[in-house]
Amino acid sequence: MLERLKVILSPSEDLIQKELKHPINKQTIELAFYLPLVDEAKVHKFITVPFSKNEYPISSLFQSNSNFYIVEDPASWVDLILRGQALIEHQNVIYAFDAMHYKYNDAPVTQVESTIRGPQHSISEDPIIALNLIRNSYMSPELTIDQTQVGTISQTSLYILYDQRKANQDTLKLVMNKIEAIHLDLINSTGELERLLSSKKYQLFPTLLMTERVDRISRALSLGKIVLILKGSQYALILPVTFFDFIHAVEDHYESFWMTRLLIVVRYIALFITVSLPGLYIAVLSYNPEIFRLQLAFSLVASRSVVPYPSFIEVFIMLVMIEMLLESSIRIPRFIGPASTTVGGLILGSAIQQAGLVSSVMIIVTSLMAISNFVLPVYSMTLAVRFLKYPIIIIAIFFGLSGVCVGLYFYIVYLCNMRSFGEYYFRLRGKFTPQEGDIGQAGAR
Amino acid sequence: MRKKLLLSTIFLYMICFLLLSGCGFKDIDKRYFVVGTGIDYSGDDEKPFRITIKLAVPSVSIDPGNSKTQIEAINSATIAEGVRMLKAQVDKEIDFGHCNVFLIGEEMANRNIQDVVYWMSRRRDIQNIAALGIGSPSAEGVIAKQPTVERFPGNSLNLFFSNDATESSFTYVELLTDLFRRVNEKGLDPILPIVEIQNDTTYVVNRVALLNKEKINLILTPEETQLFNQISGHLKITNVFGSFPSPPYVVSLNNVKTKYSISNEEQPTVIMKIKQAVTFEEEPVNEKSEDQHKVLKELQNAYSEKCQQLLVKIQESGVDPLGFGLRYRATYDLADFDENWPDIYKRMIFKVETKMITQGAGLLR
Repeated sequence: MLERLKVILSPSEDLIQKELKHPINKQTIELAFYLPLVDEAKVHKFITVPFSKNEYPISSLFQSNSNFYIVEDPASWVDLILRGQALIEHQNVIYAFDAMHYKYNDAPVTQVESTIRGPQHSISEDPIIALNLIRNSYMSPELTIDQTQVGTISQTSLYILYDQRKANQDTLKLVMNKIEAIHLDLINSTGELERLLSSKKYQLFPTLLMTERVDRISRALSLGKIVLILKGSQYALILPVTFFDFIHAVEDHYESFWMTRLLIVVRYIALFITVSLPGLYIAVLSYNPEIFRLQLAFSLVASRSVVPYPSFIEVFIMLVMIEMLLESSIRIPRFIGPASTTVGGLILGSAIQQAGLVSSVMIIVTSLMAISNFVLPVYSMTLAVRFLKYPIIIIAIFFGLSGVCVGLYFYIVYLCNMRSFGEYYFRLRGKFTPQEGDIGQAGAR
Repeated sequence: MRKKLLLSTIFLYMICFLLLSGCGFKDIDKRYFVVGTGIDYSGDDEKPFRITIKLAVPSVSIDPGNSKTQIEAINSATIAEGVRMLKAQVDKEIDFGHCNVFLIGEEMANRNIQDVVYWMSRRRDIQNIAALGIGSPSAEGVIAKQPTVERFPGNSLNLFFSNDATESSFTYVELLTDLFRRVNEKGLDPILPIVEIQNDTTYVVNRVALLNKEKINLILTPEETQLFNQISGHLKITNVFGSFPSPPYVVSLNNVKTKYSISNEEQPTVIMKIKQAVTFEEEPVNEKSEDQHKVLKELQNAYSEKCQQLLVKIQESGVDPLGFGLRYRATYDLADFDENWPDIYKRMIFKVETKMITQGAGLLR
């Protein structure tokens, strides 16, 4: 049986295949199951312990206990083993033993990527629970799980998951080489791993997607991507990714078609706003005031007439404030978290405008910029985009509206130049199967 | 080491680039927005241009009649010099970026408008979509007038020439791009609407002046202006009066389409086909709808008659605002246009055919 299973199932670290020999009566049983999917205690209690004690013949146990049943058809082996059954062969008879164990209740609730109507659980810091959830949501015999250790001192287990048939072998090789090349004493989180794996040190955009959602992981696997899970970290890494994946939330598959398409468009608008709005404010106010209607121009003048400093000083005051606000609300102990946002956002915002340090329009610009930044569904992209507005502001100070346009153009060119593990990074949609994907691109940067 | 060198080179280049930005940086509250400009003939040949600008004084309140403006005027030898001298009279940078209305004084338009048009098209911050007009009797008088119900400085005159607000069938909107083309194109002559002050409180724009590249040749009456607007395809919604001895009708035209062709004979003929969708707006109360066709025919004939009279009137004054000359140049070979065209234009015959399609009787049933 074990030989046949090796052919059917892809070789995987979590597939337990044992041959047990009893030293006294020379009986053997063959045992196969997926470790994350079964309750190991149950397997011990019902199979291995009675077998080793040998109080009565093991076959009588198999035949008398209702948890065991005989499997006639070898074609159903895969199905059974993927559903958390342990397969036992004893004297050329195959038994299935139901040791299935769902670990949904052990999984924590999503913290970062929450949905309304999607699954509420994230993968766990315990890799076995994580693998259980993934195996349960992606029931394919092709799913392969490799295991290595990273960190010379920490020896953290790293699980590499991919669909053997769909994943691009070149990409896989590239990832393996990169993981082997890591020389670091301690690795504590996937974020660290992400920085070590991404191709360049000074990247503006993330080339790996960090996620905590099981449904995102299983979808990525079905597209032939590779998933990395680190022991002791609640986030998995998905690679290779495109820019589009970062603008895409899992909920786009769960809600009505038209609204989700509209939301995707809204996210792109938000991306544009959050990157260019402060720069545009400076450019319009100080270089090209004629692009607005007269009425708006007048209200801008009226709101700015109390502000003593030029527009870019005003922008910097406001941006420093908003960055401090965001940062403090993350770092602050959780009991006093709401207080900081209230104080900073509401009180400072209105007071700073009344004091005449910034114009009321700048308050609108800042709030809109901050809100639209958090419309993006993936946190790593949110952080990357948060930085992007500063170069645009600098350019806008010196070159006005044309500078903003050139800056945005530069970003687009930069995105087109980027690769994520050999795949093109900046394409909206693309096939990821090796048959139709970018073959031969694995060597690219 | 090489990397450091590269980085420092880039840094140096960046520093040099910063010098390129020049002195364009000026905050919006350090600028004066011009909301109306008038250019008159000053009567003095030494300093022929009298430039009037209306500066907006921004205020937060937008109640009717609360708009505040500041008028500055100066005489100068050239327009550009005049604007520069005006800068010395105000405390902020003068910005023409929001100036949508430029008026040329009637006296100026009777002499020569070309200097003004060329100055406007050369200047960077004057919009190409600024509307132009002739201020009557003088541009300064019209620009300096403050309408009593204005909310925003200079907005009333702006709204006259924009499509956002009024859509009068008497207002011909002429933009700088089009005027510049008309001044320079052979076989197409400039048109300018005439802006006057009415009752000392508001403006009225219901006549156009036809110019011969330089100065006014002919001023049309309001009725003719409306007709001209229709056949030049300039406005869609308008009223035309079928003035019969009895009974009187009024139809409103929607969707006026004008096509014309010019034949190349000894006596060149312009065959103009006007297609209109009409709605009856006024008709006598006890009118039977059976003889609608007859009424339509009479209206069509009357309309064609009117158009023909207008075209002949324009032809006699020797200007060509509808661009017959341009069409002729494009269609037929003409060795020397400037030499031959006036002669051909004088011999032209106009035939107008109107087709009205009733869209609705405008009746409540």
